[in-house]
Amino acid sequence: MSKDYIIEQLKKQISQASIDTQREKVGTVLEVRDGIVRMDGLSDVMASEMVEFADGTVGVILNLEEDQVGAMILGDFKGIKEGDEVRSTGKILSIPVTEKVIGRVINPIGQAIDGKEVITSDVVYPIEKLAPGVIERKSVHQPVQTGIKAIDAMIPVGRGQRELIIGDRQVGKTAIAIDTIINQKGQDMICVYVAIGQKESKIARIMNELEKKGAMEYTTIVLAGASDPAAFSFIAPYSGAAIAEYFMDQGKDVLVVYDDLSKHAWAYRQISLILKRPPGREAYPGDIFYLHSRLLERSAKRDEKYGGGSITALPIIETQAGDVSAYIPTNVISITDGQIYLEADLFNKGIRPALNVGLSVSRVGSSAQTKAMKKVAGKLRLDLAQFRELEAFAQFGSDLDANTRAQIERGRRTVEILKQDQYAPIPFEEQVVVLYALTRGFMDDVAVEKVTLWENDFKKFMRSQRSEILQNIIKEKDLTDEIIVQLEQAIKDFKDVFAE
Amino acid sequence: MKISPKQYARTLFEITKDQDQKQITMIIEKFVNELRKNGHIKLGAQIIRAFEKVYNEKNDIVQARVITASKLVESQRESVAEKIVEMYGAKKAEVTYSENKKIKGGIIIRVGDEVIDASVQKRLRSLAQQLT
Repeated sequence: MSKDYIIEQLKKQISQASIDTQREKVGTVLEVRDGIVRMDGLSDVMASEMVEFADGTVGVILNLEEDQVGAMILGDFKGIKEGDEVRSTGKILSIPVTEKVIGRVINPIGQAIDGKEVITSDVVYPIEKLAPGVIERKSVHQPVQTGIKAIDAMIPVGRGQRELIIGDRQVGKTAIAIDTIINQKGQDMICVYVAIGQKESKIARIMNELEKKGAMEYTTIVLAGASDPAAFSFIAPYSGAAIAEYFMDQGKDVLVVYDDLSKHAWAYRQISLILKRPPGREAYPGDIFYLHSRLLERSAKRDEKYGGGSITALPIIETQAGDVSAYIPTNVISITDGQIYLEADLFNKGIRPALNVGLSVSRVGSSAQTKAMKKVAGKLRLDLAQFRELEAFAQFGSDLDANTRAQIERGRRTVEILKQDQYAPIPFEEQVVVLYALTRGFMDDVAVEKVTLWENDFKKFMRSQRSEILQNIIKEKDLTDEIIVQLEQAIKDFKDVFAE
Repeated sequence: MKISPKQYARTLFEITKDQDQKQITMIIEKFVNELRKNGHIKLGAQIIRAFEKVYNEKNDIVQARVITASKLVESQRESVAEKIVEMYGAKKAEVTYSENKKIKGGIIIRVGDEVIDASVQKRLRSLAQQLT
C-alpha cells in the first residue's frame, strides 16, 4: 500500500466527517446525591430522555420541575461533581436489541457483562413502551408447559398470561421459574430471565445450571446485581420487557421471569425518596402500583392479524413471614392472572415444590390446558381437596369407614406424586400417564414410600417399551378412547413387572 | 403562602418600572422591610439573581459567557458582542470573557443554557468519534 493512498484516504475520511457547530442545550449539576443529580438549564429536555455527563456517564431524566431537572445516573456516580456540564442527547432511554442477546448475560442498558464479544445493533427499542391495546390482543389459548406436575395439572399457565410466583425467602420460587425455563427446550420459546438486585453468585449458579441443561441456547439473562446502582434495578424489568417485545414483534413466543419485583419496588422507593417525591404507604411513592401494572400489562398474546407472538410473564414476589396482605404483594396479586403460592411450612415438611394448592389459582390458564391434561387434572384437584378435609381424621386410622380410608390413602399418594426434584422438569405426556395411573386408582396398592420409585420406573417403562402411546398423546393432545385402552393395558403390564 | 424568589423579583421589577432614582431608593427600602417582615431576608441572593433575569428578559438584554483560548482584543470583542446581539435578536449583550488554554482554539459562546461550541477541542473530539 502506497503512502499517498493512505494519506488520500485519511483526507477523504476527514473531509467527509461533519464537525459542524450546532447550538446545544446544556445544564449544570447543582447537587449529587446517591445515584440522583439535580441540574439547572436543559430547558428543552424530555422526560426519560438520556443525558450525558462530562465524564461520559449516562443519566435519565425523571423529574421536570419549574427551574430544575432531576435525573438518575446509570452507572458510577463518583466522577460527577457540582458544576459539571450536562448535555442532552435527544434520545429516549432505549437499548439495542438483536438476536445476538440470546445466550448472553447483559446489564439493563444492553451491554454484555459475560466477558464475551460486545453486543451491537442498529435496532433500538425504548425501555418504556405502551402495552398492546385491546384490538391487538387475543385471549390466552396455548399452554406454557412448566414441566412441574402440580402446576401443569392444577394451575396451568397459558402463553400471554401473567402468573405470579409468591412466597417467603428460600421456598423455591426461583427454582420453579428456572425449571420452567429448562423445560422450554424444543417448545419454540425464547426466555428472558431478569435478575433484579440479585446476588451475583446466585446468577452464576443459575447460568451454570442453564448451560448444563442446554437452556442458554434460547435464554437471555438481564442482570442488575445487588451492588449495581438502584437505577439499574429499577430499569432492569423494563429492559427485559423491551427485549421480549423485540422477539414478540417477530411473531415469537417469549417467557419473561422477573426475579423479583419486591426488590424492584425497593429500588424505586429509594430513587423516589431521594428525588423527594412524597412517600405513601410503607414509604412507597404514589405511583408504585402503576410501576408494576404498566410493566406486567406489556405481556400479551397477540392476534395473528397483528403478527402473533406472545409474552408470558412470571413475576416473583418475596413475602415477609408469609404476609400476602402487605402492600406490594396485594398490588401484584391484583394485577396478575393468578398466583402460585409457596409455603415455608410445606417446604419444611419435605413437600417440594412447596405449592399451596388451595391458595394458588390460575384465572385464565385452564382455557389453554390440553384436553389430555384436563381429563386427568380435574379429578386430581378434587382428590386433594377431600384429602385436606379428612387429613385431620387420619390418626383415628382403624375407626374410619372404608370409603374415608380409601380417600385418605389416595390423598397421601397424590401428595407424594406431586413432589418433584429441582432441575428435573417432566414432559407433558409423561405427566399425563402418571397422573392417569394415580387418579384411576392404579397406584392405590403401592406403598406410600414406594410411590416415587414406582413413578420413575413407570416413566422409564413407558419411554422404553410403550413410546408409541406417549407419541400418540403428543399428537392428539387428548386421551382418546383408543389411547386409554392402550394406556390401561400398559399400566397393567408394568404392574406385573414392578411386582416382581 | 410561600412566595418564591421569582415572584419577589417580578414584583420588584413591576414597582420599580419607570421610576426615578429617588423613588426607587424609597421603594427598595420598603421592599426590604417587607422581606424582613415575611422572614425572607435570606432569599436575598436568589432574588437578586432572579431580578437580573427578569430585568434582562424584559429589556431584551442577553447575558453571554465567551471562552477563548487566548485573550481577545477589543475589536474582536466588539464583533463577538455584535454577533451575539444579532443571533438572539436582542438590544444589548452583556458579555463576560474568559480564557481557557484547554480548548486549543476557536470559541465557545454560552447564553443561558444554550452553548455554541466552536472550539478546536470539540471539533477534534467529534472527528475522533466519527472516524472510529
